[in-house]
Amino acid sequence: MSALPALRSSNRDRVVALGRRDLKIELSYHFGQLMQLLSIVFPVATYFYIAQLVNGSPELSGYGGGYFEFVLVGLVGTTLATLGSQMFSSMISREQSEGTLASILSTPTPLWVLLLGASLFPMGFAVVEVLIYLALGVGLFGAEFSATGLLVAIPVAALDVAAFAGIGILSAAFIVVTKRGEPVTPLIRAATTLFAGAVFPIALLPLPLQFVGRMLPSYYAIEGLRAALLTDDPLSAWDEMLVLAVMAAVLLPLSMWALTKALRWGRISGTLSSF
Amino acid sequence: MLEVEHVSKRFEPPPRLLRLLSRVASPRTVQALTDVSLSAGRGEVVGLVGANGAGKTTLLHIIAGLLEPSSGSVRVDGFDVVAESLEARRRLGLVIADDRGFYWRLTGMENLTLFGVLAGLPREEARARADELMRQADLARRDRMVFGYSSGMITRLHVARALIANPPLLLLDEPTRSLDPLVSLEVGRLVRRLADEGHAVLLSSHDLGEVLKICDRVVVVNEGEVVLADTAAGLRAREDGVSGLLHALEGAAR
Repeated sequence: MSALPALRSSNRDRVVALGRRDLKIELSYHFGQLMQLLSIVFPVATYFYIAQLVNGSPELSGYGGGYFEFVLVGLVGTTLATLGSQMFSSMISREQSEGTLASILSTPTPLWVLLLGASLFPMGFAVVEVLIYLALGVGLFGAEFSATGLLVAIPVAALDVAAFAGIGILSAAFIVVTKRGEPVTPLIRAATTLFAGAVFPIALLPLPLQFVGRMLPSYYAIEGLRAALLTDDPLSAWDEMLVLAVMAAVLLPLSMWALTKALRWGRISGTLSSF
Repeated sequence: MLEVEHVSKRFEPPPRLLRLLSRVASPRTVQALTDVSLSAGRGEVVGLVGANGAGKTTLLHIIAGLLEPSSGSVRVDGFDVVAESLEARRRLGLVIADDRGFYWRLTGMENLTLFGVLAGLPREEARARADELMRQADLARRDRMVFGYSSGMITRLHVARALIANPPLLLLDEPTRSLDPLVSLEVGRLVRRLADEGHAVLLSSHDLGEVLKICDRVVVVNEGEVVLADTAAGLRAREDGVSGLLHALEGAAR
């Protein structure tokens, strides 16, 4: 042993290894994820029957007219928003409590690789969730979506996750410093439901609250998904995609800066491994 | 290989706002290290000895990039651990004195393979190396999750992880903690063999006998300051031997 050994693994190998880690850990709990997936049937069925009451409302005319399709897309948008906002804070929180954060950070792995690797399993799981929402909606309850719209919905969903990933990384920075009390995810879920039009059009809200809704990435994500899936012109989702892209372009670098600062603070204060 | 120059570490209480958000370990300033300098060359085992709270772990964490020094510098193979942290971390393996630090829902083999890839090995190579180290560390039950490991097994897994990518610098924070005497002896022999193969080793320990037996040089720290530094041979040659070293430690503690 006289020279540094040749180390040839790429960052792609590292990302895949981190994704495989999370998959194995989750699979070691045999029922946890399965129950979460099975539970999707309940909100879908509930909103199907609520839709029998409210179908034909004039506020829904711009969305193809059916409340069930409208709310199904809202649930998909909420799932994606929750995914983006919590995947990194959950990772940091888990690594701190299991004492693995120090182990991981003492390896020569760049921060962005750790984040990308940590996002693989949650993103894969969210894709399965979304597919189950759509399969249940279409297969069991007869929802109708434009086939071309499904193709347009993919980049809208990706931009939604990217914008929320920025919020999620900010949330992770908060966890690094405060250890607990991740404030963002419950707030995002509640705000998306109330202000961003997940389950009813925001036109029903008072004007100031509509303004709050328009500040949230989830409003543009859900509107974009609805434009793609529920209207005759899926490409009208372009405007929302542009807004989401701008939000992602601002939030991602800002949040990376904040997380880098938070980790540095942890190294200075000696609290990196505490929880 | 390792150069620590005039390193001091002071833990300041966090700003008031952060203290409102989360309770802190100590609301006062703690001077953990003061002007510590040491070095370790290839093929050399340097022992770091001191009482609990003397600053040994703080120093090892600074070298590993888990803490930032308040002043001074640390270079690993010429790379500054703060400014060139990724390059420095490529060159070191760390054994932390903590039963945590592994994914408990993964097997030891899966943990080692993961950390091998993160350390820079291609997956197949990491698996092969993990397999070899699991055998060497006497962790034959490869299908056992880490949550079923005893403290001694976890310590051996820590040592195996530090060696996974065969780094030139090894930082061992009490590697014989929780080990029975026979296995401790085996770890001691392993450390000596690694040094003979060209690794630089910085070993912290409470066991003076072990340190004098394994190490080439010994650095004694007390309350964050180096109070004695000599070759192990020099210390052994002292008329008062181990008892003299103990005396020096006690004197420093007073």
